[in-house]
Amino acid sequence: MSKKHLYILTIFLTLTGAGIFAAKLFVLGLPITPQKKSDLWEIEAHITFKGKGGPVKVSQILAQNQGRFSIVDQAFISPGYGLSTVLEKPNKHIVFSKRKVSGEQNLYYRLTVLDKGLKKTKKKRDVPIIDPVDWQGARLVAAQAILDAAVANSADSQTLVSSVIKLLDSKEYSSHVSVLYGKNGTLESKAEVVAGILSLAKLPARSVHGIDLRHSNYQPSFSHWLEIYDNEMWQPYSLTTGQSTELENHFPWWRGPMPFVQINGGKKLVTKLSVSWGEESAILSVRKASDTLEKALLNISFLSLPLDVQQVYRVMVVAPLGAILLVFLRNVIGIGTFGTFMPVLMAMSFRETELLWGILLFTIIISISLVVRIYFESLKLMVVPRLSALLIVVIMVMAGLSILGHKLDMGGGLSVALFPMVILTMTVERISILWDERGPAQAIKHGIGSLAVASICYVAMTQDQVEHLLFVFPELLLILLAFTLLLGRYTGYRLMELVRFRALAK
Amino acid sequence: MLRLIKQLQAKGVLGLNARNGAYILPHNPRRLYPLVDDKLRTKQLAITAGVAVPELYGVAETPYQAREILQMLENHSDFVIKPAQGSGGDGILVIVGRTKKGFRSANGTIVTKGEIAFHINNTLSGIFSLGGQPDVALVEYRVKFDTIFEEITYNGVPDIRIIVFYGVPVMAMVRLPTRVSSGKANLHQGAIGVGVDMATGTTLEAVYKNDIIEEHPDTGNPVMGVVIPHWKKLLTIAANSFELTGLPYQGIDIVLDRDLGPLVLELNARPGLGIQIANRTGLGNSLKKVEQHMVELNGLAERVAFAQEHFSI
Repeated sequence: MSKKHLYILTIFLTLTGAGIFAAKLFVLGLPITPQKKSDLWEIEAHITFKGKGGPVKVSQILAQNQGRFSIVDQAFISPGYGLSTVLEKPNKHIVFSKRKVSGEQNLYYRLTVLDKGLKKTKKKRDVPIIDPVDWQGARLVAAQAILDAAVANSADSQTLVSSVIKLLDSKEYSSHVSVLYGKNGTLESKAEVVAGILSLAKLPARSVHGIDLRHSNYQPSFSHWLEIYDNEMWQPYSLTTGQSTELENHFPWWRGPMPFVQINGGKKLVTKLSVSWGEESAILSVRKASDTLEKALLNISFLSLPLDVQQVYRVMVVAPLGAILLVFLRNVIGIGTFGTFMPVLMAMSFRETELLWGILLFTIIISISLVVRIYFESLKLMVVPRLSALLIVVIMVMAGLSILGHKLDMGGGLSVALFPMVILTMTVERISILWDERGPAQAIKHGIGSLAVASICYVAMTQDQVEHLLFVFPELLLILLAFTLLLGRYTGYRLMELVRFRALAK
Repeated sequence: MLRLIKQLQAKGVLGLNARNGAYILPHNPRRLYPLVDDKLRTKQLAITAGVAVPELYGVAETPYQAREILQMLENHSDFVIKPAQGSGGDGILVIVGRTKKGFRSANGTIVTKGEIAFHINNTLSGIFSLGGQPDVALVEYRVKFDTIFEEITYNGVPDIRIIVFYGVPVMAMVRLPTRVSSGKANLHQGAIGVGVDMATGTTLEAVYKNDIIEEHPDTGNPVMGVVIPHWKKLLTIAANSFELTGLPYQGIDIVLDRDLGPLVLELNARPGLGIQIANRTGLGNSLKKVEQHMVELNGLAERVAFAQEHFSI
């Protein structure tokens, strides 16, 4: 195979990639930089369950316009299901129904939410009617006791709320609390309990369930908080601090003790949420696309995929950039690393752990496991059992670090679970072989090389601009492929070899 | 830096990328690699071709055969056990004599029969082959190396590495074990590489861990100016290795036995580049010369003569 062939291939790949990129840029007008000033969010609820072969009815609560948040668009993906909406104050439900359902089912509900900003609109509201809680016996007594104590050290409704929350968290009332919560003390049940106690004091209160929009591009779970009718307005209160602030970026979805989704005739119900901070013009242009060329171009993008799949690809599309950097650092610079893709995989897990934590945890795991591996060496174990034993040790070290990190209240410790354990095991094995065969200096040099490459890949892969470009314009991967192929035929010196052979240049 | 690159290129120094991209990948067919990666197959090839190798006493492919081999070893007081697919000289057990309790190894420790069986079983499980695939253990004649290198060797067997391209010996070096390399003859393990004049077989300066040296670091004797005996025969064996395996670009390792003369130890499809430092010149120019004259060279003698004429330093 001649070099000419390779050059033609790379030119073809580059032109194709650049062509599609240009078309999307100029025809569709997709933005080339991440849109910082955007107030749009795409929220998606993905409901999965297993049908039992009979009729199924799934009732899910719909989001509604909420003061500063307005719903620009909503859509359902529910092949073969009949849809109907049911109003159940204060919430609105959508009911998906189908006569015969078996096997795994997927329902999607996607909505686009616009944040209009903080405008205090003093619209006249219905006077809230809160049904009194039907607590009896021990529960009522416990609730009343907490309420009395709270009333005793509060001045107004604001301080009453925070003192009820404080009392629920205090040790003093733990037996009362366990009576009120029942078995599972989730934040959701806490919301109902607080609302119930406050309604005993004739203070209109309700639980609210929604999404914290502060972190974009992640898979959140529902947040729960409280609303108190005070000063002719519903005021949000945090369930952990009892304060009315810091809930500004929370999008309220529904209110009251109802669960988000209920099912009749199915099992194994799972709800997965995903939130993505909208790239406004990108999303809008998806909606605008009308003629065939535009539609065809849009097919070469991730924007039409379900949100949770989109999020997977957001991470995945930057990996090729890490790979090409790895090729460059190994074959052109000449940095020695352990394993071919180990540094890229490490860089990807550094995304979760943050760089410094990642390097620290990586070093700790490798060091401890290496000590054990050196001990294993003296046991003269056969290869496969030795690797399996090492894998067990690596997992135990990871688990130990997570538990220790949690106990010491260091968030970084927990994220160690995201390290690729098999890759770590192979790395320990390779380090120890290198250690034996070429001495500690070489092994440590390679170890530092791997970490350096992982760090460089991490920095490159976490640039917003990079992620945006590769995600919105995945055709750029063709250009990356072309470069990688070219690097595959690079036969010049590696930078490190210039050092190695410098004595020969005379 | 650009000047450095220019100078290195002028000397024909090959980097790893050039070695892989310009010589190994285009010239060496992958299907021939097993011939050199497996020392047993190399040995069988050599024996059928009539090339001298250390005599093979036996092969253990199963733990059961390991016991048979121990029985057979009653007839030998010294031998070497090595993995067929070992890398970097790992897993080689050298037995130099017998004691009441068992055997004495090259580094002076006593090894029992049980320990030898354990070593063979470890080899079979692939502990010494880098990929970890199952392996076989070879038991062979222990080379008694030529006295010529006695003064400049520390505890091990020195060997001669020759790079051969399309049957033309291109560059050679003597590899001398040191204390650091613990008796092994691999440069990256701390052995010394000594350049060799291709015309006469006289040793040149030496390279120890990428530095130029003149004396052996352990024995203190000069490494330069030693004339390797049987030099022409060595070159002929090297040139013949192309016919043996069919690999155009390969390195051949030969030892000099004081009784049996040159014996082929192993062949290598990806020989290292340290040999360039030992000879203080690059491989590239010589390889190009071979490519230019390849068609004119017929027969072993012509190729050896070509090497002696053109690649003298």
